[in-house]
Amino acid sequence: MLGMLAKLLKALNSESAPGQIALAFALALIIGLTPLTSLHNLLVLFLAFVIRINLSAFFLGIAFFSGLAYLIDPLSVSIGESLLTNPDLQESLTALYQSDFWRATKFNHTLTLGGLLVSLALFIPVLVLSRLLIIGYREKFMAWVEKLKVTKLLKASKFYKLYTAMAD
Amino acid sequence: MKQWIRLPGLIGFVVTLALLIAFWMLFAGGLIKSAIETFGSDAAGAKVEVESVDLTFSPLGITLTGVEVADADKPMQNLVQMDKAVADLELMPLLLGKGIVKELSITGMAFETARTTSGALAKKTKSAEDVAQEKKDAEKEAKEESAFSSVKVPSADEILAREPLLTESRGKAFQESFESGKTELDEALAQVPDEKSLKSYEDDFNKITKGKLKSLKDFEQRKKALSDLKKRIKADKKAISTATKIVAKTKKDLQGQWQGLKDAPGEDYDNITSKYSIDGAGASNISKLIFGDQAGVWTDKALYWYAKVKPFMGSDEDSNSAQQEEQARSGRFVHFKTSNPLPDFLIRKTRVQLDFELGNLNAEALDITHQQTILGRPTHVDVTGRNLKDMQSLELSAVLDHRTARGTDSFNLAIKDMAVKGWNLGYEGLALKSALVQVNANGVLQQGQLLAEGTGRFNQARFGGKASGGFAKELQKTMQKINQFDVKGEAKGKLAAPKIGISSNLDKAISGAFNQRLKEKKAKLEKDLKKQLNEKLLSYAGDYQDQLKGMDLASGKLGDKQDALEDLAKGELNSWEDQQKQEAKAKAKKEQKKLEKKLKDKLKGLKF
Repeated sequence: MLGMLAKLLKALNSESAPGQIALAFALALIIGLTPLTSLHNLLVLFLAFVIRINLSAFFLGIAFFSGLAYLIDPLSVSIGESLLTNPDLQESLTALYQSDFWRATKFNHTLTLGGLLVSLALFIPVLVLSRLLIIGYREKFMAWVEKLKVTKLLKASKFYKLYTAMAD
Repeated sequence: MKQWIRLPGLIGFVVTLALLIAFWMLFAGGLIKSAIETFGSDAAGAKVEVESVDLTFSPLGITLTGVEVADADKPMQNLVQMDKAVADLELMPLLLGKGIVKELSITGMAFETARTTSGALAKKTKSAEDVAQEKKDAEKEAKEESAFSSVKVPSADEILAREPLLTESRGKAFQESFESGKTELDEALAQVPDEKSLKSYEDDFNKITKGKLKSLKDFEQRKKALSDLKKRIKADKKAISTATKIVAKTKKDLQGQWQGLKDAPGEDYDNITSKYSIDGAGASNISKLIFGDQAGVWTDKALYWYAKVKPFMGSDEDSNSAQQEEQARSGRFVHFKTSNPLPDFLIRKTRVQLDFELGNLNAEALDITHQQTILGRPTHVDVTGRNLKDMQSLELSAVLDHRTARGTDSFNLAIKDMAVKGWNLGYEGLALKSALVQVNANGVLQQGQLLAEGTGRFNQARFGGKASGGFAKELQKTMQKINQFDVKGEAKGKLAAPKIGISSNLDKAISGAFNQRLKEKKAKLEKDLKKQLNEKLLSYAGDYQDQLKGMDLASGKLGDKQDALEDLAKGELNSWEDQQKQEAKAKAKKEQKKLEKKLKDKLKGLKF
């Protein structure tokens, strides 16, 4: 975990495209807010492997959003519950339920459906916001931090060498 | 665009998946074995052991060999064991995370077999809650047992030990009142003046009031002394009055309670006799007496196995609050109508060959699942046996329907030509030497309430026994003439402690001989009960009567003392002025008499 964090910091401080890190966070959001063993997460995992995103950011994002899910899950469950029990949707949902594929997606599970909808709704905002934050960090905060004396002192320390060794 | 695609990532993804699948294939058997043993042991409360687990991929299936489930109550015995269990799994549902078994075949299934090692689980430290729960369970068990014990005529000792008696409760209350009243009375009597004090009052009073007042000062001193004496008398009068009131109150209380206590043995006797139906009609139910134990054993066994199976049948209590709370956090599945409902776990068809002492039984169960609400079908169980030992055939069919919160379980049982040999009827050495029995029974259990009935038709019956004389011989003779009879049984009420009713046309056949014996038994029981209740009464009443007399005496003495003090209190001291006036008057009278005498003497000397 520490190594992964170091890699993330290195990526933030490197020339990696901010969009690649931001997309990693946004994809992690989906896995973090929905039950891990859902079928759609296999697709997300596939995308994470195939698209050139920062994998450290992706796995750290999963850990972060899984923690956040403890707070969001009740809301996700209630959204899923209200949709799955909505009388107007019963016909469509019953039709989906006849298909083994759709049942394999566990669309009829309140947390899976609610969590997926919440994560999809937050996907673009998380993507945009994290990209902006990374750019902002690199433009203003990183340069400012680099100029600090304490940073220079830290960089000269053995601890920093150890940190960079771990990050590599 | 190229910089966004990572082709080696695709390989990484495939490799990761392949590794996961390979891991599963290699270790699935061991993982399943471990899961069955761990979760099975938790559920059974005793060791669950599986010799081996083998997976097959075409057709997809799992084979368990050498399964043993230990009996939690008897660790050196297996509750059930099976040689082999072969389950054919459905692939598609498995990919959906559902364990659907197309068919489960179990061979070599046997019950209550001996174990070579103990099946007890390692003991956990018992918490106070566990201990309390165990105590509750033990009490519950005792209650259940009592459902059957009521079919016997108990002895007076047994009844008196079991029943809450008014004689005891009122006796204890009487004793407590008596003790507290006595303490209060003793304290009050301690304040009352004794004979010596009364005498001293009298002496003091006489000293003050008798004798001539010497002067005005003397008068004043005596007056003050009298006033002080009166004050003391007043205080003592008050103490006597208080003591008198306490005596009266204690006596009244005790007399009231004494009446209740005296009536208690009678009331106890009435309560006991009505409860235990030891009147002629209740006790003449011979069927209950001689078949009650056997019915109790059968019912116990049936309830035991039902209790073992029920937790796996899903449930009426699923929607408890803890579960709802859990669902609010981790979600739930919402199921829709479908022609192919898939619970999390389902065995569509089960075939079991059961090895019993009486022969092999074949059992077939359909739709075993803990989620009948999803499946929409109840579980059906059919057990059949042909040409069994001592039985021509046995057919049991049961429907366990837990699709709604008000779960309903029902069964039908038919036994043909069951050969009964040497049934000890447990009464006066009486035995049913042989008979052929046809049994038909059915029952429904809904929301913990049982309603079951059955009939046993006994043909070619031969009774016998070792009775040497008296009533037993008479009864044996009567029964030897009977070769066919019916026994009807019913069980009603709470499953934990159903009320068992057994009747038979035997009752009528032998009622004459039996009623006579019952009258004797009843008379003896009545005598014993009355004797023991009276003994209890005496143990509580103790020397109450003597004490009561003592109180009367004390009351009388207090009255005398009160009177004596009253008299003393009324006495007054003449005033100094009155005494002066009286003395002046007496002096004047004396002077007058003296003058009158002188005048008479002078008048005598004058001669006219």
